Amino acid sequence: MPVLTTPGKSLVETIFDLGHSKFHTRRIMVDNIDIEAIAGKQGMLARAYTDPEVFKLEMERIFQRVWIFVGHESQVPKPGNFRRTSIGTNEVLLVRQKDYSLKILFNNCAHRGTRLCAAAEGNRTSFICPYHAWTFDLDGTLKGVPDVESYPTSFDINDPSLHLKSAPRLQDYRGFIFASLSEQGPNLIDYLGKMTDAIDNLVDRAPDGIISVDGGHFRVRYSGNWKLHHENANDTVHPGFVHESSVTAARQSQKGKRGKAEPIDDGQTRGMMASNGLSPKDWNTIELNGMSNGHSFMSGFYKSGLLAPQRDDDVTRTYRTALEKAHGKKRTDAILGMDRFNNLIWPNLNVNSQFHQIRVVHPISVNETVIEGYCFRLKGAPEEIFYRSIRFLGTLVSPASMIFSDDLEIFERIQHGLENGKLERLDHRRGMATDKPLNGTGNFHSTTSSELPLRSQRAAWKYWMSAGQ
Amino acid sequence: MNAEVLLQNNVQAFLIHEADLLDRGLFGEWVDLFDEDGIYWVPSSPFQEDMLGQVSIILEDKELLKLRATRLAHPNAHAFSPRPSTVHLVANISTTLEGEDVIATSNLIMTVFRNDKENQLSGRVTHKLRKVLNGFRIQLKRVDLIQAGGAFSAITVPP
Ligand code: FES
Ligand SMILES: [Fe+2]
Repeated sequence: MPVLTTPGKSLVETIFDLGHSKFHTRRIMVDNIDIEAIAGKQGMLARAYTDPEVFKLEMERIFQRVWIFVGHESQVPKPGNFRRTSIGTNEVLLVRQKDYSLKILFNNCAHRGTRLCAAAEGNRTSFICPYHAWTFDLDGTLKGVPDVESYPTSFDINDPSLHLKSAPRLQDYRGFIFASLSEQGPNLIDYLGKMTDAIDNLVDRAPDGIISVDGGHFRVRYSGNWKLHHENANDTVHPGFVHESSVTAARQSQKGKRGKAEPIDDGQTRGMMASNGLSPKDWNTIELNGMSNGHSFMSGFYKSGLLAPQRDDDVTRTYRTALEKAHGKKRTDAILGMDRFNNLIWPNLNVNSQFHQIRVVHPISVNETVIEGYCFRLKGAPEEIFYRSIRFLGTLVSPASMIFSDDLEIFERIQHGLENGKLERLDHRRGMATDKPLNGTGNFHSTTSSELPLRSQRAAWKYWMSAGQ
Repeated sequence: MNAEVLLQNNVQAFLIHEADLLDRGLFGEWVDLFDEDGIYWVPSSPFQEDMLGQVSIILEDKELLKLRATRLAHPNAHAFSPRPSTVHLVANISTTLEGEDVIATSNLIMTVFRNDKENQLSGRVTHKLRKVLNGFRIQLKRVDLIQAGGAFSAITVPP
């Protein structure tokens, strides 16, 4: 915020008052952000991506209220296991309790606020603050305070305000754990809606019905707003342009080098890179689904590669046999046949069931975001299937990915453009006339290169930013 | 010069040449330094032992490295345009023999400058080198970044 302000008014606003209407998009209404105007009908105002005040409000109204993905049950298997994560800009710990239930605790001490766990994960019997050794139980209750006698009688160790703050609601869906910092709101199943299919499909792909996060993970940072990630994930028009360099390289190499040994991944990386070479004709064969609660997904995208549904090799056959043993042939066909890419659960999760992976979006500030990528081991599937998931994750989500690095570059260019350019409102109208409502659901679907997913996300944004005023 | 000093000198010259190719953006020639079955590996976490059972920032054979070089040469490699300027500083080199091959360990500081922003990647590098006529070919180059496990911005120039 500028320094020279009159109370409740920023410098920019003062300039606006003086009639410099070109500053309109930079106007900051401190206590009265106009959600309706920002969401717009044709696209959002640029300040939705650039204004720290809007970001602050998003953290309060969206990230502190809706269901936020906080981890998978396999990441904290035993009592005392904890994992550090975040709900918006709040750092929290996901903790497995003594009775195997789960809890989200804020990672800062109730005494004078010190960060409790600097470790990203681990196992504890209690949380001891490094500053004055206040000791908290796994459930966040205060167990001990050194020299407690020196406190006045008003100090009661059982006072809940001296316990670690916790998330009032935590629920899991088949091992996927979500938390809400709000006492009220829709239950998780209603919130997820049709997206439970994506989670079901991922779990069902394990012959033994158990999946676990394994094989390490990535954390990738970009200087851009958190919304840009989900807006891009189901954008079917960009791949041909943004990923042109890797598409061209992959195609050239397919022509020239056929038959050459590729010990590392047997052509998977090359196949994935080539898959982005979509022409306008291809855009219109990808089916898009956009839900009124912000979620969206597209139909199959990576048609070649080691984990593609069309794949037929020894490993795939062994895997299929194991699945058929567990589910029968018909159901196995249905499970392996579900060809959906980028199942976006708004606002912070992307589930790629078919490739056994997820991405998690962590907003850091209005123009800084961290993306985490994880993959799963499917119990009962051949080890080689797990290696393929790892490979897929590396090809797509590594900071050095030949594909993702170009998306990250575009996110940063959008941010730069919005912060330094003159665009007042973005345009989100592509496909608006051809989106088809799915009867009675409030959901839409499209078989054109539609920006439907953006409109879904915008609708959810508008709802949560203004709901419960 | 005794054999040990000679080897150390030759390895050092090779590593400096490699760094120079990377800094000049001659990625095709850099890939040529790899043996036909050579591997370039940047693990995703410190002390990573498993090449296949854990994700890597980069794990590529020579064909994939060629793909990487071809892509970087494309005018629309957006993350690489404008091209970052880099300097790979290679130091603390030591060499040992492993059968016919040479194991060279070194420390790396790589500074990247692009769009008015400076970034640094640092780490310990292990080269497994095969002796060939007039020099070496890379069997394995492993780069253990001290930043491994942290949040990275996009990486285009190989460390
Ligand atoms: S701040 Fe934690 S014990 Fe004092
Ligand atoms: Fe992309």
